Order: sequence, then C-alpha cells, then structure tokens
Amino acid sequence: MSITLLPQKFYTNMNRIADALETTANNTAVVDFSGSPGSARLYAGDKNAGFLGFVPSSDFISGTDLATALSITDGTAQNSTTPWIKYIWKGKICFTPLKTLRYSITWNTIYNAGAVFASGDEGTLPPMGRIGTDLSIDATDNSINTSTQNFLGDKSVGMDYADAVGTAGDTLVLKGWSNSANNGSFTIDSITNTKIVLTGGTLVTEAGGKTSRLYKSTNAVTQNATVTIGDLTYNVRLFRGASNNPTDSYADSDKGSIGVDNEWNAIILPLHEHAKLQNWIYPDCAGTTEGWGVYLTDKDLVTQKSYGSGSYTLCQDVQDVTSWKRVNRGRNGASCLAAYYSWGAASDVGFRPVLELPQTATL
Amino acid sequence: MLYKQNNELKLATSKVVYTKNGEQFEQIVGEEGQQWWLDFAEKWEHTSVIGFTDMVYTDEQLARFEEIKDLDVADGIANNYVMDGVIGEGLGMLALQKKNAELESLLADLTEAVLLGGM
Repeated sequence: MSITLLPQKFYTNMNRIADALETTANNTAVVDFSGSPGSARLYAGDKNAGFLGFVPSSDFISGTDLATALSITDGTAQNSTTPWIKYIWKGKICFTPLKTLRYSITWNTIYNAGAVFASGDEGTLPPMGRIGTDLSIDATDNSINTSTQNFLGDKSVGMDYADAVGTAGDTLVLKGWSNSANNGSFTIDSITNTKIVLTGGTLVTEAGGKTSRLYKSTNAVTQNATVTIGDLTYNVRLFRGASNNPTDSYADSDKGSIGVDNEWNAIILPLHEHAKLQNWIYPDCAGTTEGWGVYLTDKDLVTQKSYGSGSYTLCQDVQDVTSWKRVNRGRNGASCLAAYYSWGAASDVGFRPVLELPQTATL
Repeated sequence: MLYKQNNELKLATSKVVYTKNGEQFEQIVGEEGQQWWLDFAEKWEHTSVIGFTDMVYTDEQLARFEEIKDLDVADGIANNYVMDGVIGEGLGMLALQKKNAELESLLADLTEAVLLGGM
C-alpha cells in the first residue's frame, strides 16, 4: 500500500470549498421558528414553496404511530420508517413522507378520520356528495337535477363506479348555491338517478356553479385531525394535487393541474430528477417547475407502480367531471395526475399525509 | 399474502380479527406487527382485537415465494403470483425460465429415448 501526498494547494482548496459550502448553508434564510425537527433553513425555493431537507422518522413520527393517532386501521401499513420531507408551503412548515405510509386505503377512510382538508369544517365535499355545473335546481317540482352525476350509483361499471347520494328520508345539505334559499338542510322525498325531490324548504330555480354541491348530512365529518409530536401539534391533511378544488376543467389537457395552488407540483416535482431537464412523463400536468437539485427518483418516492404498492397518492381535490372521484398523483411517474373513486381501495392507492404547522413564516 | 418491509418481500404469518364500532373485520398483520394491534385497541375504545390466526400456505405457494422473493417486482404482481400462480408484468423472464426448464427436461427425455433406441 502506498500513500500519495498531494500538494499543499490541494488541501487548501478543499478546505476553502468546505468553508464555502458551510457559509452558503448558513446564509440561507431561516424560515422555521417553531422548533420542529430538521433544518430551520431553506435549502431551495422560497417561503411560498421551499425545501428544508429530510428528517428521519425516529426524530419525527413513524407511519404506524401516525395511524394509531388518527385511529386508522384500514389499508396495509408500509414504509413506516421512511424519512420525512420537510418543506414550506404558503408560509407553513409541512412534513410529508418520502414514500406512502399505507396502501389499499380509501379517500373516504381518511376523510372519516378528519385528515383530508385541515379546514375545520366538512371540507369541499364529503363522501357520496355531488358538486358542479351539471347540477341544477328546478323550482317547479322542488328538485335538484343532473344529467351525468348518477345520483343512484351502485358502484358498477354501468354507473361509472358512482356511489349513491342517499335514499328517501335522508337529510341532504345544499351549499354553494347563489340563491340563499337553496342553501341549507332538506329532506329527500324521492330520488332517481337524475332527480332528487326535496321537502323542508322551497327551492328557487338555479343552474349550478363550480362549487354548488349537495351531500348527505351524516356523511360530513369535521376536518380537524391533529397529531402531537413532542411539544408541537400538527394538522393532518392530504396534498393539494390540482390547482383548483374541485378541479377546473379536468377534461382539458392539463386536467386542471396548472396553477399556483397545486402543492404537489410546487413541492414534489422540484425535488424530482426530471425537474432538471423538465422531461416530465406528463408535461401538460407538470407545467414548468422549479428544480431544487435533489434529484429524487420515482423509485425513491414510489410514484411509479412498478416500484411498489401505494404509488398513487390520494389528494384533497374533487374531480369536477365525475364528482365521486378524487385527484391522485403518481402511479405512472410523479407528474401523472388522475382521479379515482373516493370509495376505492386498490393496492395502487396510497396514503401520503401532510403534517402542517400553523403559519410559521411571514410571506 | 405478501407485504414489504424495508424493501424486502415477506409472507404474512398471521391475520388479525377485530371489531371497530361493532363491525367485525379481518386483516393480515404486516410490518406493524401484532403488538401494534393490541396497543391500538388499548388506545381506542371503538376497537377490540378478537384474536390472531396463523396464515397457512400450500407447498406450491411457499415454493413460488422462494422463486420471487428477491425479484424487483411490484407487490401486487408478486402477491398474485405467490398466492395464485398468476404471472403478471415483470415476471415474464420467470415464465421463460420455467418454460426453458420444461423444454430442457423434455429434450433430455427425448435424447435418452433416441440413444436407447426407444427402450
């Protein structure tokens, strides 16, 4: 064995590089003043959407401990000790696991645990609800009507896997209608696949808007799940996978993905290896993203089905065309955006929660 | 039934039978382990663990598990193969290897028959 002595200049230069890296790291902005685990400084991005680094589950929480805290037994636990990605989104410090923590779990299960929206109310749309412009109210028979929203879905292929809104006698909540008389609680008098006749109030004829909606009252769960880790309490929710909720124009090429409120595109895609060359598998859904030089792969994130179960990350967003579906990201690469029935528990479907602290930075 | 732990395919060894809000469920015990279920039931009044049952596999299923446990295939594909022998995406090479082995065996039999003059 021989030892090669390099010129003194080499060692001097290496020390200078190390010092420069350390200085750079120390010069990035501190954005987390909460005392949460991991770096408090931005590694890349800004306070609107930025990356702070990774946190081992041993310093934060394991997938199985989180499931216990949320009272979730449905689905199958996996990747319990995966590291957490620490990031900042619209001024809030957030954590999300590198890989999904459960698979074969439904959106409805997570909703029923209060862990979809972190909104403090029932969220955009509870399970079995309907929303959007295909709904209309007809005052002549005090009914709410649709041509495509399958009020009496039976989860069959013939019904495009729609579930049923309710049955006669159920209390239905109407929200988001322009005319105040159309918002409130009503009783279903009769229901067909295209018409629900209501009692308990007098409706006014109105065409539905993007957020005009209805849902069975007993299906609404307050979205306020929290988990306490150390001294801090985090809200638990799912990612925003599209730019609007419900999606705006899912039938378009970008499926409603492009926009400033798409958290998945703003956080996960810049961490991905395709961000450098913008060579996305689904460029229409990805748009133009930042690249943060982290180069995570679909295998790292399990956002491709051949790398494991749960590659399809459940998100908050309701799909506007068929409102019993919810937006999912992944399965065919991180940029893929698709939608799946809120009641579906396929092995591809995965739970990748976001744990969010209240506002921690000034934008 | 299979599950993955630390990127390693494993055969589930037990199932849990439990009630949640009065309704009975049965589920394989995966990487969380049996103790997790007991701890969960202790924390949440709505859930009670009735018990655990051992999973029983046929010799064929165990053999198929040995064949694929080190292959890099999706969990669902691996599960379908081990439990039901279904050859899915990513297992094509395995099918070819098996076919090849069958053909080699047939060829050996044929060679033997020819060399021995049909005796």
